Formats: sequence, structure tokens, C-alpha cells
Amino acid sequence: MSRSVPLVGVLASLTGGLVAGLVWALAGSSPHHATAIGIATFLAGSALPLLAADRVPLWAARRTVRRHGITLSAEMLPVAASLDTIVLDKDGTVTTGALRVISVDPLDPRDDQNLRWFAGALTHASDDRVGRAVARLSSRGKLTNVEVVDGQGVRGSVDRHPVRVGAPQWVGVTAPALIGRCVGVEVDGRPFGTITVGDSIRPKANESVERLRTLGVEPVLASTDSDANTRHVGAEVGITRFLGFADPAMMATEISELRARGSRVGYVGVPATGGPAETADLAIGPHSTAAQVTMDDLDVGRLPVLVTSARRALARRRAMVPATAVGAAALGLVAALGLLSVPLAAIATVALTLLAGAFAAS
Amino acid sequence: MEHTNDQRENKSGAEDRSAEGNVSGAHAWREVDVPLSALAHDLQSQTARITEQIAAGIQSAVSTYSGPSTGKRHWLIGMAARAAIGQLVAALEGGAINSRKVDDLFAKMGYGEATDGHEISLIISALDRAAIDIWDEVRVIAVAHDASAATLSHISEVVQSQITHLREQIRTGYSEAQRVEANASIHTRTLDALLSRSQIQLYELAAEAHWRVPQQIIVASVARTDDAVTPFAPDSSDYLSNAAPHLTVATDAVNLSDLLDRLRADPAIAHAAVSWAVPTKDAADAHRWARRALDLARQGIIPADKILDCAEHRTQLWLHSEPTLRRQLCQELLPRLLAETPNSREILSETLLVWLETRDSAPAIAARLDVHPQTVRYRWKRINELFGDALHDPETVVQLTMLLKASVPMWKAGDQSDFERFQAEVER
Repeated sequence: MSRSVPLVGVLASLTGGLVAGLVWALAGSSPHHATAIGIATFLAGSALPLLAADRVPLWAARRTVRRHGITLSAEMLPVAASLDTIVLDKDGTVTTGALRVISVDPLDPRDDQNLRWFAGALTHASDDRVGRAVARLSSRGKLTNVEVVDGQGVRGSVDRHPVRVGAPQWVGVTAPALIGRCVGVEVDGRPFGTITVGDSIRPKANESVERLRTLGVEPVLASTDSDANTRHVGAEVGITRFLGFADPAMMATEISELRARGSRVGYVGVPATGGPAETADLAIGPHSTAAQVTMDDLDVGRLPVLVTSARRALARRRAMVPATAVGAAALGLVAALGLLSVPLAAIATVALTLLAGAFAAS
Repeated sequence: MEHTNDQRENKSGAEDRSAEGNVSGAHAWREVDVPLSALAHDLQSQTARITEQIAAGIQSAVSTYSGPSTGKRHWLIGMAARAAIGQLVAALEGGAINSRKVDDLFAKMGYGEATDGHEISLIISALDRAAIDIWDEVRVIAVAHDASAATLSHISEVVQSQITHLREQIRTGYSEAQRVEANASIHTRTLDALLSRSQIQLYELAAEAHWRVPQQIIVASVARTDDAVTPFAPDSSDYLSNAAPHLTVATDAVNLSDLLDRLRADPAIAHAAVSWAVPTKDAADAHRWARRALDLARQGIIPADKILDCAEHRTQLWLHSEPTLRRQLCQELLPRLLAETPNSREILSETLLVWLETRDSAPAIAARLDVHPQTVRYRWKRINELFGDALHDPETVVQLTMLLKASVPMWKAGDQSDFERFQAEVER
């Protein structure tokens, strides 16, 4: 519609102007008078108001979502408006992406502070999400001989005491049956206890999920994390459909199947080759990626704004274009009857355009 | 101790010799019928041969001086003979000579013979034999020049005069060596009396040597460098004993700063442990402390400075006075600590010792040990696990404090004997 409406408008106004001028000329008007009426008719019935009614809603929607940290082209607005399913990568959408300590379990209850101190001090030397979460338990200590053991954890000395923090089986402790990710801690060659870290859920994630559902968009939570952890986060934010232990290829397959069943599916996460962003109807990712829609961060709270703004833009356009067309046609008729001079016809067209734009942007 | 003036010198004897330094000035030249310079020239031209002949003859005649012709003794004899011939040549030429170098040489030879424990008659007989050889050569040269009997007689007098002079230099050096040895003997016997607490003998020696026994004394134990070749240069007020492996020096307490200066300045000294001033009757104790200080420095228990002031290390000297008792207490009181890994043992013992000494809070102890306070709290929990209620017993606390104060520096210095002993006991 967006490209054809102005074209139709131009053709209609041209035709109207020609016909009006011809009729007046055949009716015996002077050529000057007939030409003036023809021009006035063309101006009054021009496509300018139609253009405004067609474009301004989209521009207004893009401006609105940009204020919420979302960037997209006008062509993506109809796609966003049509979504009925959205697949969310757990990390960064309903969660902050960072982990937090949810449980500290020393083997000897009297060692609670010691466990926090030694584990926290050593993991200051770790650059993964789990290490960063544990490091917040204490200040950085005097570390020596620090070594990251791939796939296992980190070891070193804290104030000359040998410490290891890593996979429970590597350290020699039993992981408690808790949601989240567990690391074992060893000090002076003795198992000391475990620390469990979990996702930090965004404070208003469940409200945002509810708003999506109200808009008719069903959320699905997907993650490379375990089923249990993914289900837990989903339960916290009100998402009942989840996909755990899902690598990008598995997510892409899930999206393809949803689309095959007739859903219009969006994906929110970091795009990956062969991943879900390539099979979704709309890929939403961080600004640093080539996703169709990019956001400052992947906060699920931005998504209702996107969907709402897109739908409002389309609805406004659907309402404004016919009304504007009728108004332009009426002006054209008045001009064709010789009731509008050329200047007046131009002024009337501009006024109609401004009026259409104002309504479209409101 | 004070010495009488005529005993204050402690020289090699090179400076204390006959007043005659110029052989040529001792004779009135008679009228001769041949130019003596010609005789001297001929004698000088044959010096090498004559010297070799004299050295071989002496080594052959005096068994004590026997040796190869390429040996050092042969060379020394030759050098002396060459010097004497040179002196004779100068005398025959009638020029003014300075025979001080030759006199010093023969005085040192006498000194060396006394130091080596030889009878003086040996070197005198060697000199006499050399004199005969020289006279024979001179006579042959004189006859070759058709010298008259009067000239020969005159030359004979010159030779005899020279030999007599050289004999005196030898005696002078020999006597000087005997005097020095006598003094050293007195020093050593006095030190022995000091260290054996023989007060009666000490005062007898002092009376014999006209010395005043001081009220306060300093005792130093000195370890020399491995390549030291020169002995410690004692002062006249020092008492010395060169008993291996250390040199012991005792001196009046008023001479402390002078002794320290000499010890610091001597490059042949590796370490010297110096006691504080003690009553003379306690010299033996001071000696024991000084030797113990050297041992502790060697073990790394106290810093191995060049000059060890025993007063600064009194605690360690005292704690290590009963090494057997320390070892036994270690095995008895610290078995659970000894069973820990070396790293854990060092950390926990260090922390326990600081707490026993200071009874400070965790943050204060952490600041002393340069660790985090939580680390100290963790260590304190471990220590309580190891020692339990023993830390509430005052007697045990005193023993632990002293035991760790003595043992921790040993362990830090690398002494593993306590742990090896513990392991051996466990394996038994």
C-alpha cells in the first residue's frame, strides 16, 4: 500500500484536472479559464495529503520506538505488528545476562565467611560470568600462581593458601540439588563447600511478558542452559513454553516449525550463523549486530513498545488514507466546479496535508 | 691488659738489627798492589756459578736444607748467596753501599728458621760453609791477578767482616722470632685461663707478664673466609687463640670500638660474633654465646651480618641453649602441626607465634603478616582445630611461645630436621 497510494493519488489528480479543463473548454469557457480550472482541480486533488497519511504514521512509530532504544526501518513495522509468537533467548531478555550468587554452602557451617572470602578473592582472576558473580562476594586478595584450567575452573593461592574454584567433580565436592550453576571450592587441599549462582531476572520482566501476552504475542523461552534452569526462569517471569539445552541450530529448527504451523515468529537474541535469527520472521538483536531490529539491550520490556507502536502505526494509516482520499476528492470536485481558484486550491491542499499529518502523528 | 714498654713491639725483626748498615765503612783500606775493582769485576762475573755451587753445597752438607735444585729452598739459598756476593763486590769496589736490604734478608732468614722450629746452628753452619766457598773463589781470583799476601790478607778481613755482620743479622732475626713466640704463648695461655675460669692461673699469668686483669671483658668468635691467607692482625691488648674452626679474641671491654673497627676492616673475616661486656669471670659464657651466635648465623636463624652483636640476639641465643630439649619439646607439643603440609605448617606456626606474642585482634595480626583479616580468622580456626584446649593452659602457652620462637626461624631458614624426625617416628 505504501508505495502504491501516492501513485494512485497522482494519477487520479492528473486525470481529474484534465477532465475538468476539457469539460469547461467544451462548455465554451475561454481557454485561460478552462486551464485554470484544470490546474485548480489537479492541485486540490493532489496526492500530497495521501502521502502524508501514508508515511507519517510510520515515521511517528519509528520515532516513538527510538525513544525506547529500538531502531528499525519502516519496512519492518508491518512485520513487527504481525508477530504472534516471540522466541526469547534467556540471557539478556528476561534476565540481565549477569549471574548472581544465590546460595553459599560450606561443609562446615562455621566456614561460611571463609568460603566467601577465599572463593571471592580467587575468582577476581576469572573473566567468565560465573567467576564474576562469585568475585562479588569479597574483595580481591593477594593472589599468586593463578591458573585457569580449561573446562574445570581456576586455581591459585590466596594469602599463600592454595585454593581451587570450579566444577564440583574437579574439586571433589557434591553439588547441591539447586537451580542454577554450582561451583566447588577447595582450600589448603581440603573441600570447603559449594557456591551456587543463578540468573538475575529483570525486575519487571513478568509484567513485560504479561503485556506481550495481552497483545496476543506468545513468548517462548530458549536457552543453552539446562532444562531445569530455563524452566525456573520461565516460571519466574510467567513463560510456560521453554526450550532448554538448545543450541542455535535447535532454536532455528523450533522457529521453523512454529512458522510452518502458521505463526509469525520473532526472535530476540544475538544472531549466529545458522541460528534462529535467520529463520525468524523478525530478528531482534543488539545494536552491534546486523539484526533487522536492533535495541540498546535485549530487555524484554522494550518488546511491547515495539509491537504496540507498530500496530498503532498501521491502524492509523489504515484509517487516515481513505479519509484523506475522500477529502482530496471532495476538494478536487469543488475545484472542478470552478469554485476554487488556483491559489485557493493550493492552500486547501496544503491545509489538508497538514491536517492529515497531524492526525497521523498523534 | 697493659704491656711493659720494651715488650710493646711485635715486629718481624726486620727493623731491630745491628747499628752497622754499611759494611764498607767498617774497614780502613790498606795499600794494595792490584786494583780491587778488577777482582770485584771478576768475582761478579762468576756470581751465577758461585751461587749455584754454594746452594748445592749447603743442601748437600745440611740435611735439613736438602732438596731438589729446582726447589724453593735451593732458590732461597741462591738468592741469599747472590745478595752476599753482591755486597762483597760492592765492598771490594770501595763504593758507598746500602746493605740494608741484604741485612733485612738475612734477618728474615733467621726469623724464619726460628718460626720453623730449627736450631740456629743449622743456618750458621750453612753460612760458614758459604763463607768458605766464597773465600776459595776470591782467593783463586786474587792469585790469578798476582795479588800479594798483604792484599790477600786484606781481602780476607773484608770477607770475615762481612760474614760476621751477616751472622749477627741472622741472630737478631732469630731472637726476634723467639720473643714474638713467647708473647703469643702468653696470650694464648691467658685466653685459656679466661675461658676455663681458672682465676688463680689468670692472675699468675698476669703477674708474670706484668699485666692488669680487666674488670670487664669482650669475647669475639671469628670465622674467616675460606680463602683467607693472612691471620687476624691482633692488637697488643688482644688475647688470641687460633683453635679451629674459629679464632677467639678476648679484649678489655674499653677496647670494644677499636676491636669492632679492626674486625670490620679485615677482609679475611667472614663473620665475627662479639659478646657484650661481661665480668672477666664470665668470659667462658661470653665465648659460648659468641660461638653459638656464629652457628645460628650459619643456620640462617639470625641474620648473617659480618659483625654479629650478641646483645641483639640474646633471645635466640638463650632459646637455642638446649637444642636437644627443643627438639624433644617440638615432637611432644607440635605433632599435629608437624603433620601438616610444609606450606600450611609455616603459615600456621607463623600466625600462632604472632598471636602468642601480641594477643592482637585479627585485623592487627593481618597487618603484621600482610594478609587479609579473614585469612587470619581462617588460620585461627585451623589452629584451634590443631591445638584444642591446650591453648587455654598457661604453662603450655609459655612452652609453645618459646618453642615456636626458637623453631620458626629454623624452619624458615630451611631446617627440615624436625619434620624428618616426626616422619620417621610416624613410619615406625
